Amino acid sequence: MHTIKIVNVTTGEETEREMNADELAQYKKDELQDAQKLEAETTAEAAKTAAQAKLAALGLTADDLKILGL
Amino acid sequence: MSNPTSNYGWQMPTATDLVTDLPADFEVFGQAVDTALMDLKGGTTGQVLKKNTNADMDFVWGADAAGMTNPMTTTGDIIYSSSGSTPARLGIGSSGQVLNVAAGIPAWTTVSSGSMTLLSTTTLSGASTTISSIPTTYKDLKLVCNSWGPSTNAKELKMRFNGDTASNYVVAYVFEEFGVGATPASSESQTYLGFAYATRASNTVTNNNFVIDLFDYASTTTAYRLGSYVSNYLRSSNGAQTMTFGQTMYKNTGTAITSIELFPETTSNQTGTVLLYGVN
Repeated sequence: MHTIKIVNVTTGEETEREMNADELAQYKKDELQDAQKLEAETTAEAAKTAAQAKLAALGLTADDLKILGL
Repeated sequence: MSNPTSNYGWQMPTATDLVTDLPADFEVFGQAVDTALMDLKGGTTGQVLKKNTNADMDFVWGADAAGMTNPMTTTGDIIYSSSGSTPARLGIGSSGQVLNVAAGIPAWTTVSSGSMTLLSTTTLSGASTTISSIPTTYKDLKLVCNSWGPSTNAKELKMRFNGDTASNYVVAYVFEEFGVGATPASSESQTYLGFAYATRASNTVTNNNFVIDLFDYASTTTAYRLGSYVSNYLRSSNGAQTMTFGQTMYKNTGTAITSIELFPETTSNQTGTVLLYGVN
């Protein structure tokens, strides 16, 4: 289970409890979204690394492409 | 007394006049006085005597111009025109107040000065921390997050308002890692505000400080509520300092922001301290 904390600014009351069913359902949605986002970032990072390797094979760098306005 | 009289030149009998000439002399004198005072005759109740021309003794009776009824009652009162030309009283304000305009008439008002009120200091814990029941009586909110950190590396800080999980969040930012350069990025139609490069690194970070200003948070009509944030963190692995400058937008769903949820990416808990200020 996952713990959440709620602080009431007006009363100063603090509550810590386990997530209820609705909150847990949202957490699962967020978890899936995070996984998809991480996968997309990993894919993009891999593509970037591959592109840099191709450039290096041609004797170029990302700075060379910037100079060319690409 | 000179003869004729010094101011009006009325002729009076002289010391050598015969007594028998006195009636005729007084006729001359009396007629001269009568003629001189002719304009003072007449008039009606309430009329006032006004000069008719610049000539001596040339007067005319006329209506009294309507005067203003004095509305002042107290020391410091000011008169202003109300409902067109009706004089009205404005009582003195209190010390330090300035004369302003409210609803089209003068009014004493207290000069508002900027201020920040600390609403809460919260220690972050667990998978999520919500700061709720935020008063809507301030202009802006400022949230200062000190030493934020996820329990698992490479997790970003996220934020939601009013428990809203719809795609109402936008964030755009530029992050700068010393020695690497600046990089712009943005995320639209998100179900949360994600501060990836404000708080996340691929390895352990320390000194992760984050400050966000939420403008006009109590508005129920502005299409988007804007935010502006700055942050920095230090990668303990290589000592690289990273700074991020960003803007956020939160679509207005017709309600003021009264709760802010801070949480890390899933599968992580969080630590840190959050200070929430109301700003005027």
